[in-house]
Amino acid sequence: MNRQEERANAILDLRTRALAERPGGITIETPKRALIVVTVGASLLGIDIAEVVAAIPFEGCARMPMREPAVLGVIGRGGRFYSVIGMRRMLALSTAEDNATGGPDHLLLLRGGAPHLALAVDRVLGRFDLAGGGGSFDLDGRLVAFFDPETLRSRFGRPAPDAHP
Amino acid sequence: MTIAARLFLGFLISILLLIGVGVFALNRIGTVRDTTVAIINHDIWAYRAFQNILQGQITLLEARRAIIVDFMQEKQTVAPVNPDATPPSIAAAVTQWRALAADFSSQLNKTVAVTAENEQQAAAVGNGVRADSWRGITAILQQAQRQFEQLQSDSLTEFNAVEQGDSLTVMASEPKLVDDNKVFGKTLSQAVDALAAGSSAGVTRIGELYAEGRMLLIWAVVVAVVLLILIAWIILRSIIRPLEAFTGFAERVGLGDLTGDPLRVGRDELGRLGKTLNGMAESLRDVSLQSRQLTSTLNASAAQIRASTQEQAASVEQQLAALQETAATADEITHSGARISTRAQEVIQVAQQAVQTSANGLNAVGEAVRAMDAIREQGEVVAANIVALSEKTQAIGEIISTVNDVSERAHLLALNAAIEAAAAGENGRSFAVVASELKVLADQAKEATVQVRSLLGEIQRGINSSVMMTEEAVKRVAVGRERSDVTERTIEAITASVQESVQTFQQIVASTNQQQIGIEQVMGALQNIRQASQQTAAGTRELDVAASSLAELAGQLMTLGDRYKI
Repeated sequence: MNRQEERANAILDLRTRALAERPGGITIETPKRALIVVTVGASLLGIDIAEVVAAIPFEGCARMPMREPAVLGVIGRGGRFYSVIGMRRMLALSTAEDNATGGPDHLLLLRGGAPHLALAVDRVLGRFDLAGGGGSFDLDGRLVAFFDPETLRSRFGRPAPDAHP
Repeated sequence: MTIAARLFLGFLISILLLIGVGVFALNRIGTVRDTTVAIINHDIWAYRAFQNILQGQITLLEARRAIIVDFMQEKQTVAPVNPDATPPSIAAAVTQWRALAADFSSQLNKTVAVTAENEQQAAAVGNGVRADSWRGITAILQQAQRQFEQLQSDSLTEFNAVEQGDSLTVMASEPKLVDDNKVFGKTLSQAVDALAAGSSAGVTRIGELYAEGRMLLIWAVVVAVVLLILIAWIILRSIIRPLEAFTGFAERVGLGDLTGDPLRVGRDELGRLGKTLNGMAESLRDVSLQSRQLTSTLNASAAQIRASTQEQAASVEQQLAALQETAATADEITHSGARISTRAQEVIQVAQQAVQTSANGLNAVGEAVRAMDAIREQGEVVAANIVALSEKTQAIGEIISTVNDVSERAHLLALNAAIEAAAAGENGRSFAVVASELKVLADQAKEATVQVRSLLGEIQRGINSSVMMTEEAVKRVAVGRERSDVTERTIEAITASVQESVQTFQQIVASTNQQQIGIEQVMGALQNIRQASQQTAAGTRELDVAASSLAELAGQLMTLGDRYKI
């Protein structure tokens, strides 16, 4: 069973669960959090949906002479420059795994001021309301690690203003 | 040097050696004689001198005794001293004693001189024993001289006392004089004994000289004999060795060996003999060489004649055998020709049947070629259809890619809608539901495209396999077509060859008939050749016998000539 079939089965399971969790059914009130779940290598990362502006296909970026190896380059979107952060490099995954699974397919544009950041991920699986705490969530038995974009801002630029653009 | 000169020289040397040995023997005999004479003369003289000395010593002793006795008789008393009392007779006796003493001293001195001279002569001739003897005698006599002088002096002193009438002095000196006279006598006796010993040594010396001379003479004779033997051996060697060489040369020539070295030549008798023998051997060598060459030529010619006759006989026999074989072969050819004609007729019929069979084969090959062409055309049509089908599947793949792209875009669109709905808060909840449904549909569409793409991949692989198999079938049909063409051309060539064979066999039949006629003529000619060959064989056998006799004669001559080695 290849990777696409696994993902398809995961989507179907997610769909079934989503239908089962629709209002009107038997629900258990548990605190949940809306996350955009992405894959980076073999890992699943969850980003608060409020931090995301948009998800777009990754079609390359302009390479810049930057000191941080995790910064792949910049792209222009909606009249702004976004610094593209390679999540694989950010998480210090091996280059061999990078070659085996191919480059990033999607970009997540994050909210916040300069510098505007875009996360290069393998694939954006979708929006999921997941229960959990302590920085990790459960997605059909798989562990989803919560990723806070504030760590990027503290590392690559000024703190984001309180107000979203 | 001639042989006569050598012999004369040998005899001359022998005579000289004999003379030398004789002279040496006479010399040694003379030496012995001279030594004997000298010893005898010296000893006889010495004996006479010693006899005189002893006689003189007795005379002096007796005279002194008479004087003393007369004095003592005349004196009668011891004292006093009275010179007048000595009678004149005693004085005369004293005077006479003095004269005797002087003669005795002279005799003793002369004897000492002679013995000293004898000592020098003995030493000069190398007779050490005799020289020592004479030296001892001289020393004893010299001692006697000294004793005599002392005795003479004491006697004269006593005589003075006698003349003085001093009887006491005379009595006092008398015992000493008596003792001195005894000692002097003993000394003279020792001298006589030494002379006797010297005489014995002289006799021994004479014996030694005789033995030495005898030994030297023996050695001289031995040396002379050895030299004579050596001279005789040299002379014989200088004569016998050339004679042995001449003897060996004559023996070799007698045995027929002329290959040896030539003999020594010279102006002496043997040199002239060697020159004569060398000339004789050279003449024999020339004669033998010419004889051998002529005999060898004769032998070679006889051998060539015999070889030629034998070759000719063999050729005639081979010719007869060949004639026999030719006749037999011609007979076989006659029979073979008849069989060939019959076989050729049969082959012609079989070949005509083969031509008909080949025509049928050509028709069958033509039908096979046409069937293969039809198969190839159908295969090509099938391949074209498969290619068209493959192109359509590729178009479907492109469509699937487009659908996949659309579903991907829908996926992201639904995601962005969900993000916007989340940003809208509660107002966007219903919109979020729609976005979620849209996302689900997009994912399902994407999964469907994945399945379709998988199926299309399998279809594409099947098409590719079919294309390859169809192309392989078309290639094999083409190969079959080529082989059928080859078969067709081969059958046509076989047919042409068989037709040519039919014509050839027909010509063979005609030629065989003509051959039968020609072979009958050949048989008649062979019979004539056989009679001529039999006559030639008889003549060749007679010639071979004559050549054999000639070769045997040449062989005997070669054997005779080979006795001489050149």
